[in-house]
Formats: sequence, C-alpha cells, structure tokens
Amino acid sequence: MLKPKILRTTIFRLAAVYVAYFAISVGALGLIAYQSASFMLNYRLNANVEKGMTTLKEAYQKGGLQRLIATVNTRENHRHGSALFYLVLDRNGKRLAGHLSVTPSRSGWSEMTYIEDEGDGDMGEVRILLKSLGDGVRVAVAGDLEEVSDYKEAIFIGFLSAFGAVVALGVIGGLGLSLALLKRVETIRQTAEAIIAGDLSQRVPVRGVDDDLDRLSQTLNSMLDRISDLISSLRQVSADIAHDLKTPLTRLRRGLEEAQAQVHSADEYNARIESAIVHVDEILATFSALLRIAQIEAGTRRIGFRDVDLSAIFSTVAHAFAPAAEDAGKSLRYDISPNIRFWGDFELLTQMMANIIENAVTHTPKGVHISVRLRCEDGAIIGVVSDDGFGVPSEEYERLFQRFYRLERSRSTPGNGLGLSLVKAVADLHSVRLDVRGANPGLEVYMRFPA
Amino acid sequence: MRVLIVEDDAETAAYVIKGLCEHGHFADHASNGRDGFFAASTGSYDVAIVDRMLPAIDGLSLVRQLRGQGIGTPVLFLTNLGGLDDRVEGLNAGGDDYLVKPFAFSEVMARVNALARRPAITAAVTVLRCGDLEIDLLKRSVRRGGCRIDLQPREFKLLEFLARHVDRVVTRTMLLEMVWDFHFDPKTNIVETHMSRLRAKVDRGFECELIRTVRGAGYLLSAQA
Repeated sequence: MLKPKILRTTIFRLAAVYVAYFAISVGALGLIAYQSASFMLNYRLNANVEKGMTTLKEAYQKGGLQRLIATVNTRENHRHGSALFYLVLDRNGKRLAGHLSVTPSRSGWSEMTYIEDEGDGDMGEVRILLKSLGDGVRVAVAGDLEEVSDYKEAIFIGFLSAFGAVVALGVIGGLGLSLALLKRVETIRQTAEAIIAGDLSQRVPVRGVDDDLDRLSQTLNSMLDRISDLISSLRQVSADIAHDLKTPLTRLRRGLEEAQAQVHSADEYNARIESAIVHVDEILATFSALLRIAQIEAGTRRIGFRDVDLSAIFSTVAHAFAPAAEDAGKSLRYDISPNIRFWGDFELLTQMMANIIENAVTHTPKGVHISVRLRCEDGAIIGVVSDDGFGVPSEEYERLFQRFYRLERSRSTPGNGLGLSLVKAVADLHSVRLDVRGANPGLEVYMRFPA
Repeated sequence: MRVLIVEDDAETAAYVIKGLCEHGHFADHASNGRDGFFAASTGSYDVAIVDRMLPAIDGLSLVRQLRGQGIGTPVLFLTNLGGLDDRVEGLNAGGDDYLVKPFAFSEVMARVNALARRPAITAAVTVLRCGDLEIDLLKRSVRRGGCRIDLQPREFKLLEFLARHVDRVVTRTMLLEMVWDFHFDPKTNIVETHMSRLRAKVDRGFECELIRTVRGAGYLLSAQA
C-alpha cells in the first residue's frame, strides 16, 4: 500500500527534482573536467614532442647526423613512462635511426595509426611532428596518443560512476526520506481519520524534537482540544435544551391527561385549557429565548448598532420595573447620570437591562433594596445593578450565565434560566465587561461599557 | 372590514380567517406572494396580513412593490419565532406593524383594529376625549370631570395610547412595544403594575370605570357601559 503512494509524496518529488539537478550538475562538471583534461593532455603531448624536436635539432646542429643518431638511440634506449618515438630519415627516405614504425608522409603535425612491434600487435595512435633539419635529413618525433585517450577514458569512467552513484544514492535517500516523512504524515492522517470516524479523543503524536512537523502536530492538537471543548459544550447545551423542554412538556401532558380523566364541567375544561396554553407559551418563550441568544451570539446583530442614549435605556427599564418591585415588597432606586451615549443596539441593550433588573426583582426576598446606577468614570461607562438580598455563593458566579442554569432555591420561581445567558450574549456582542460580585450582603452585577 | 391574508401555511390562514369572520369581518386568502400582490394591488382592503416567508414573491418584496405602486393599505407582517431583525426590515419595507408567530387570535384582532382605524393625519389631534376624561396632548395634562389628574410621564404615555385606541382592545404586547419600546416579553407584570397605578389615578372615586381589563386579550378605554 505504501509503495505506489511513496512515489506520489511531496518529499519524494522534491528529492527527485533535487537528484535530477544534482545529476545534471555532476554531468556538466564531468564534461568540463573531461574537456579541460583532454585539452591539457594534448597540450602537454605537443609540448613534449616539440621539446624532443628541439633537443634533436640542437644535437644535429652541434654534432651533425652522427650526434643526432646517437641522441635518438640514447633516448630510445632509456625510454621510460610516457616516452617519445623517434625517426631519422635521410634524403632518400631511408630510415637512419629510431623505432617509430610508421613514416609520416608530410612535414608538420599529423596523426597516424601504427601496429605495435612487440606484443600482440595492438593498434596504437601517435601524434607525429616531422621536420626537415637540412641536407635532406628529416626527423620525426611522435608522442603516444593512447596515453591521452587512457586518461580521458579514466576521467569519463570516473565521472560516469559518480553520476550513477549520485542518481542511485539520491533515489535511495529520497525514498528513505519520503518513507520516514510519509510515516509521520500517515499517522497524522490516520488520527484525522479516527476523529472523522467519531473518536474525538485522538491526538496526533508529538515526537518532542520541536521540528516543523511537531509544531504542526501541536497546533493541530490544540485545534482539536478547542473543537472538542466546543462540541462538548454544544452537547451539553443540546442535552440541557432537551431536558429543560422535556420538563414543561411532561407537565403539560400530565395536565391534559388529568383534564381528560377528572374534569367534567365546561368551566373546568376552560380552566385546564387556559393552564395548558400558559404551559405552551412558556415552552415557546424558551424556544424564542434560545433562538434569540443564538442569533445574538452569531454576532450578525451589529448591523443594528446606533448611537443610543444609555441613560435613557437605564431609566426607562428601571422605571418600568419599579412599580412591580414595589408590589413585590421591594424597593428599586436608581441613580443614573444623564446623557451617557453608547454605540450599540437599542433593543438588545434594553433587553439586557430588563433581564438584569428583572433577575434582581424576581430572585430576592421581600424587603430588599435594589439599586440601579450608571455613571462615567475615567472615560469608561460603569453600570451597576445591586441588591442586598441573599446573594449567590461565589463558586456559582461563573455558572450564572450558563444556559438553563438556576440556583437551587430559584427552581420553584418561574423562569427558564436563560435570562442571564442572554445578558451575557448581549454584553459580549457589545464588548461590555460583565462581572458578578458579592455586595455584602447581596449581589452586584457590574457592567463596564467600552469607551 | 375587508382583510387580505397572504399566508402559505393553510392552517394559520384558516385560523385567522375563521377568527375574523367570527368578528364579522370579510377575509380573503392568498397562498403565495404573487396572488397576494395582485389581490392587494386592487387597493380594496382595509388591512393586509402578510407573512414574511412566502412562495413566488416574499412578503418584504410584496409590500415594497405595493408601496411602489402607491397603495397604502396598512400591512401587518407575520414573522417567524426569533427573527431578530425581521421587525426593523419589515417596517423599513413599508410594513405598519409586525407580529411574531405563534400568536393568539386576540393579538391579531387588536392589531388589525388598530391598523384599520389608524387616522390618516394625526397631527391635528391635540385633545383626546373619552367620556369625561380629557387628555391635552400639548399641555400634557389630564382632567377628569374637571379635576386635574397628575400623571407620571410613562403613565401619561400609557393613557394616551389607550385614548388613541378608544373603544378598541389593546394587548399587553402592544403596550410594551408602543409605550416602553420593549420588543421582548418580560416575565414581570410590568404592564399590569403600571396599569393598576394608572387606574388608581384615573378611575378611583369615579362611578364609571373607563379603563377595563378584557380577560385573555388586554385593556380597553371606553366610556360606553
């Protein structure tokens, strides 16, 4: 399964491209080395031949034909390594000295093939310089071209094997690298597959070497943590919704069942139907509140933002709830600085204030004093709604804003536990910092509106 | 009164039509936007009840086109539960009022009545009367039987709204929207507590009660016995 895949990995493709480039450069290097080496070898051969010719010329000039022949013989007898071949001809073309087996036909440079005397008659190639030294005496000096071609061949073979090694090693290395990387990528992929299949607890293994893949894995893992947090909160919310809607629906059903079984007069039926309608309205109100919170949390409501008179919102809401508070045996006082303006959604801010104040009015004992304050402080707008009731245990503060959360002692009072969730959603939409504090005694909801 | 209802949900439409007929009104029904538009463009209706979500032409476009043709039939939009921006959009498109589904028929009836008899020009009215109650909108003063009644600004607004709809039922939701600008439903009995204070000032010591509670529907300001 891995094999065809490996050829399609990024790293293998990269390695292949890299190896190809490297091989091309090795080839180019070989070509240059080959060219310059053959140029150098030819040059040296020519220089050697010319030097030999010069020596013979000098010998002839100093000691005539005799000395020339002696020099040739001496040189030929002491041949070693890359020695030269010589030939001395008289005016009739007769060979006077030297072992060069071929006779060049023209003076100057020429190249000829010869058959070696000694040995098995191998063919050889020589480069010959033929010169006339006067009096019809001609001298030929020849260098063995075979040496040059041997060198060239050696260089060629050397570079060819280097080229082969580069390609082979490159392919092997590329495969190895791809395999190693593919394995790590494959683990990431398998983790993702497992998560897709539903196991959200899976995490990408981190090798602890802090390389790029490790960092990628860590980022993926934190993303997965976040997602699983979100999903579990979503699950929680869904479960809460199901539970909190089931309860009133069950109550409704029980009521209707009882009505069917026990009620006889039309008036009684009417009363039962009315109570059923009240239950249904409660359920609808819960749905409506949930949808509203969801819409606010989606953040699209910012299009409704205007320059609003926050003081007016505070006073209107406080004023609206004051008589209801009074009737419930509580007092509601307000101290609101006028003309404080804020950029926000009038309707939502009104509802936020209504929910906070309503919460204070509903969930406090008789005789408490509720206070609503709004003022500007160091450029920030501070809103406070406080009461001197029982307060809330400090460990519950965080959970007050959760959907459907209700304190134990509030379970019996009407409400759906969504009021403060909506407050939180509106506050978040407006970047209002919302804090719940103990007020010694009682509870204080503190709002800090951004300037 | 002739009412056009443009609503694709047959059950909702039947519910509203039945109620309207029982109250002695005539109701026509169109089940999609196009039919609704053709029916409404005759201009022969006193009120149109238009659902926001409609096949063929949606409610917003329908009302925009009507207004574009210069037809001023009052329109009551029906919007879905939780449509947060629907109200503003609907009013901007030329709607006159809105109602969130699901609704009680009494709510529809009260709003249709309020829309149908909305006076074309309100600026000329400076004094509202109901029996021996007299509300001076300019001086913002209230007298009953010659005696001055001191009202707080919000109580005045409440009474003014009742007086503008004299002899018609206004619902609790209408009052929340129009008097307090609250477009949500508080659990607290805000309307009831304010109303009882207003009643104490307006009706206490007088033989005839002007402000009445209509059970299951709302309130009514009326001098008729």
